[in-house]
Amino acid sequence: MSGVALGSALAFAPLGYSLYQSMADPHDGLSHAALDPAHDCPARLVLDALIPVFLHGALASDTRAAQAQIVQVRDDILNFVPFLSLDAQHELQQLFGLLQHRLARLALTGYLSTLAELDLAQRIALMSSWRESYIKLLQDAWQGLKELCTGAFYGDPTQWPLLRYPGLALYAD
Amino acid sequence: MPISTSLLHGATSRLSQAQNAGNSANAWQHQDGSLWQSDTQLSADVVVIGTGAGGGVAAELLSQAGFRVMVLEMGAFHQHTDFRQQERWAYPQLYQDGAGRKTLDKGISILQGRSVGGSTTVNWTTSIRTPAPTLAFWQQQFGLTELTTEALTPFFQLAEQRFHIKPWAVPPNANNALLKRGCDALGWQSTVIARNVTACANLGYCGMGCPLNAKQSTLVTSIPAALNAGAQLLTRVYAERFEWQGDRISALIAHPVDAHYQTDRRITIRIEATHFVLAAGAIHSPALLLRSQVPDPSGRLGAHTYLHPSLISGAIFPHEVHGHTGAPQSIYSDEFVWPKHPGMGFKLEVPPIHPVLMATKLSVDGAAHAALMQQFNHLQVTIALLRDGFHHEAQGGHVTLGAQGQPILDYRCTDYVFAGARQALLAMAELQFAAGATQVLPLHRAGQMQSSWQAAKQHIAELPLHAGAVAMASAHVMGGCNMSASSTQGVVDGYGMHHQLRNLQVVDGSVLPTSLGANPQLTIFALAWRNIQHFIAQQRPSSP
Repeated sequence: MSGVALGSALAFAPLGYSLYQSMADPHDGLSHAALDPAHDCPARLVLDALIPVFLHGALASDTRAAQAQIVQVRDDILNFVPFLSLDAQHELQQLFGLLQHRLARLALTGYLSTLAELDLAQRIALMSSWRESYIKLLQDAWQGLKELCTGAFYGDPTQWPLLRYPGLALYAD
Repeated sequence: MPISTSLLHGATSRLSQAQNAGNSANAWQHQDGSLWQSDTQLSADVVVIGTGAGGGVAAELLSQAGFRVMVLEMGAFHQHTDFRQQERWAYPQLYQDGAGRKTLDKGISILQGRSVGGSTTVNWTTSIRTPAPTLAFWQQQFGLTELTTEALTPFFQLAEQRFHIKPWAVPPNANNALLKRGCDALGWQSTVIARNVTACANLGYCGMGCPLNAKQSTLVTSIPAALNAGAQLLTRVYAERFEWQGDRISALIAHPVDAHYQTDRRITIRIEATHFVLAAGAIHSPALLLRSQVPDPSGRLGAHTYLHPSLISGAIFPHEVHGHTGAPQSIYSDEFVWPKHPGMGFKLEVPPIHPVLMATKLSVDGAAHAALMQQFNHLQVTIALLRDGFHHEAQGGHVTLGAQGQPILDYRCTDYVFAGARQALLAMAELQFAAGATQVLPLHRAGQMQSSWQAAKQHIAELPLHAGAVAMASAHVMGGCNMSASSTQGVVDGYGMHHQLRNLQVVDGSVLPTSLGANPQLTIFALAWRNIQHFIAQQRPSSP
């Protein structure tokens, strides 16, 4: 995955909303249980809602197959994130947390509803507004989420037939 | 492009011999720091921090000269059979921050290696001597009068011989051939690239670690040679800071990293030595010195970090390009690198086209993104590397430290740099249409597919250029510990010796006073060779 690019969530300080403890222990990254894909962590809920936006047109047309792809992309993202810098992980934590918090979400999205409660067209319009936003934080969030989602999806060899990318496997796993 | 099976098999067996010859591997002194459970005290004559182009050369020359050398590397020690030709394996395992490193404003993505061999393990093998105008600029602006083409030529030759650097004699892949075709059509200059490979099977997966050891990275050349000469290698170890007093460093403090290459400060490794060679790359080297609070009277430590900020232009061709196969880089054009008109110079090259690298960089969204990815094999991609550091409005960025001492690169593009970016996007579009492209897409958040050069010209002229809007990337991080004759103008002298700390030598890309206008691998090989040889000539090794 080629990168994540999120702006400093400190920009949300006026919301008076503090999600996470300070990073005094550099080992306190994203890899803790709160982000375990097995739990309903903020990252999982947000990614499940936004992966179909960034992969619109690429996911399988069959609903069940598409859902399996979404789960795979989300798990691949959550497995990759601990390799990012601690600063990037912290920014992601804050973004995911904010999007699950009612008031912060209203400020960020204009909706009190959770992302999962919005229909796909609304979610696409929302991400499009972030992409075009004059607020750099939202632009950066769009870019970072896009890179995570597309990187995880197209990095998966099971998707390569879509591209007719042959890949190469010289040594067995 | 089909892969020659016989060539592949030949290369495989040769490489096993190369990597295991001397493997003496049982005799090699390699320890994985991440396995250590308690604090440790070590000592050596020389500590070398980093195993890339600079650290590799230093480790080899010093150990063969009889010094007791300890080499540190933050990444892991992989064999060629470890490499998986999948970006989802390679980026987290072989690149800094999982290939997710970015400048502070997120405007530029940075690819830097992090495993034994450093960036030489994952680079695209392009090997170019330092351009004469760059050396002339250093002579004039930084007093580096000894760094002439004539003086460096013997070291270029040594490095070219050691790392098997030769012009690529195989026809370029289609991605590179289209760069040449466009240049030829427009009457622009182009050059065949020299590569550090031997028995290369033309696979195209250099950026994921060469599975055949055809690439002559320091992973398969200098580091094994150093180990054979008795050097100790500590991997998965993060060099935190120096202990120093007066004009000498006494020890290096380091910590292991965890499975995700995050620093684990619960365990401390202290290494005493008489000489320290710093080659951790142009972000980590200045960061280590900043954490150590070493003297910095010039104020240039961590400053003037250059990136060759690179613009990207995608093009659709009517025929298949298959930009993922074949030597990733075999042609470049210097048509614009030293422009006669005012404005920033840029070098034209191409990148390998693999799915993640492309998918994450394409600036289109949703269904348009998916549609473009379906034309993956018809994509040709050109990049333009801006030559920063030669103009008062292109003075690069600077490395600072975050709350936990982590390096942060603040690089802000000026109007001058963005003007160069626009010229580069224009040149690439013109070239791609001249080569036969049916559509060209400047990689920019507002970029749209254009169907003619005239339309593209107008479109690119109207694109707003600012950080984050235009896609920019870098695989060349330079500066931050720059060479200078005078201690008022830099961090180290012309031999990489620190101006204030007498037993510290820096030999990586951080010593470069500007960017190069060329890929930096060969420059770093040659400068490290010259400077370490100079150090050895002045020393008497301790008794073995």
